[in-house]
Amino acid sequence: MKTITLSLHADCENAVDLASLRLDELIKITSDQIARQRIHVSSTTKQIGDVFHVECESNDAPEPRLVLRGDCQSVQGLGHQHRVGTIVVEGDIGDYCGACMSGGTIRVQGSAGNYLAAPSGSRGVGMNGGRIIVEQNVGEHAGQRMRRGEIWITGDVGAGLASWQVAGTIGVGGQVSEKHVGYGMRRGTLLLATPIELPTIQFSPPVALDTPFCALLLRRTETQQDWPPAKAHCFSSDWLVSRGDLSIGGMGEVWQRLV
Amino acid sequence: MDETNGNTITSATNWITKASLRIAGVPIQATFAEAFDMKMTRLILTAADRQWCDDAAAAMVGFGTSVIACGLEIAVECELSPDETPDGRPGVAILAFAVSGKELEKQIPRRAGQCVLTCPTTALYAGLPGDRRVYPNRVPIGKTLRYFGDGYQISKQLRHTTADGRVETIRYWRIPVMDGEFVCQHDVGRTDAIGGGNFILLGRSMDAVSTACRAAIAAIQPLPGVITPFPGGATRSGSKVGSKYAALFASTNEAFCPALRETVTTQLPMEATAVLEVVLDGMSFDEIAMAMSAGIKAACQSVGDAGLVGVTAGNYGGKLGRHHFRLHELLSGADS
Repeated sequence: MKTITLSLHADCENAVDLASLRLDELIKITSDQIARQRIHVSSTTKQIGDVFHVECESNDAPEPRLVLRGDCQSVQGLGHQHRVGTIVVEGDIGDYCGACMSGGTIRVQGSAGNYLAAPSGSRGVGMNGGRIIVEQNVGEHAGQRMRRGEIWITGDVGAGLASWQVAGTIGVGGQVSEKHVGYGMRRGTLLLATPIELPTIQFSPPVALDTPFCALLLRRTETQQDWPPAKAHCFSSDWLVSRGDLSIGGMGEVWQRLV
Repeated sequence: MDETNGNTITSATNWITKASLRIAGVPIQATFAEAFDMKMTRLILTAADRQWCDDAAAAMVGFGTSVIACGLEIAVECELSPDETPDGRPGVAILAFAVSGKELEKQIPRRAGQCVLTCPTTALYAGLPGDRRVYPNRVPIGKTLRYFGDGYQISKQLRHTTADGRVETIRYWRIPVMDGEFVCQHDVGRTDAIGGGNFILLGRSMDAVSTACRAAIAAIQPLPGVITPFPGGATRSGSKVGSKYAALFASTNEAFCPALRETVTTQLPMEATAVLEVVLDGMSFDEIAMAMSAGIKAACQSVGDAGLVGVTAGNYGGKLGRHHFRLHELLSGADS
């Protein structure tokens, strides 16, 4: 399979929109053709090669891989509608990372901006499958309208986490802004390793729940590797669960670590 | 040597005296066990402690001795330690065999619903690793049982990386119950298997054949991929196909009944006063063959020719099943 490496030019200070790139399309073309693909940069369009240094390498990896290097805080829409293969960001990434993705994996080794895995444009559904791992912090509105898949965040998360979540699983290791967390949540699972005060009008009081599901979720190799709280707290006896958003008849669940 | 049933007393005695293969002095008839195709699945049942796990397993595999009337032949394959189960709790692996995939798909959800869902703290998972790409034919579990949740059930799809690096997504159902949640997989794979492997122990007494039989079962029990579904692993009611009564598919095998030895054409040597049959179902030919070999050797060595008159196997002249386990081939090298 192919590994494509995009290294952002150090002098690029404009907002770069990669929402038009699909890894499953990029692997079919050469590095020169990739470099000629047009993307939005600020209010204009440019070729990828104008903004990134492009390298392609064929190897025996089982799935395609896209590696992003450089300070990519201004890079938006990475992994938009991503469905196959792994995207690795060797640093920070901007807004709308993993928007509308439906499969594959995105691993951000730094922090991610706002609207992680959220819907883009007028779409009504956010992340619809796959897996996102963020090793540091995430901005606001992460997991908005998420329908399927998993998001594992090691650090802190801003306001609006899991708002209007329909299904899927989100785990957060650090502090979570209490503002609008789980607002309008219908179903889905939110794990908060650092407990917060959930609004009582929206969420039921936390209760103990004896279930082997917690171990199924957290003892997996993937979770053990990608989400540090799973190592020490993988059984349901370590957690309390609330249900909501009750104000809209939602049946989502918020697991909070017992402290 | 005899290759089929329906022998006379003389020929029944002949193979005893002229047997070319003996184990611990016990003659082994040069015949074959006839087995047939079945469909099977493997389940992993877990619970919070070993006692609940065993209770649920006992209920799940109860009344599962023969497909003639039970729908399934089902038994515990082995105990699993917490390290070997998906949720880190004590468990058992259960093997279930049916005559058709459709029957398996009918029987497993019934047993899961009445015997596992009802038992405190239990959960039920697939024991055949692989999703639809590996096992396209599926047996429903949560697909059926989820409706017990009455709308409060939760479906979760989790991605798992297998030991060989393959990524597969498994769908679980979480059904709220009075002790917490019952968790099970949406469905589990099923595959082709073999049922009806057997060997018959001809005993000089009930005590001797019981001892031999128990030694055989103890030798078979640790082997993977195979079960002996009858009580204690053996049956005294070995059957033949058909009956004088039209409604019955199977009836007593009078050729092996000591009480009828002077009345019907018998297969029993004069010294045989009690006969037990060990019936085996397995995931493959090799696993059954290995289990039969281990079982026969253990039985013979446990009581020798002082306890066993001989060892034979049940077959129907090759008309019932395409899998033939020839005793002398299985036991080659075991002569003593």
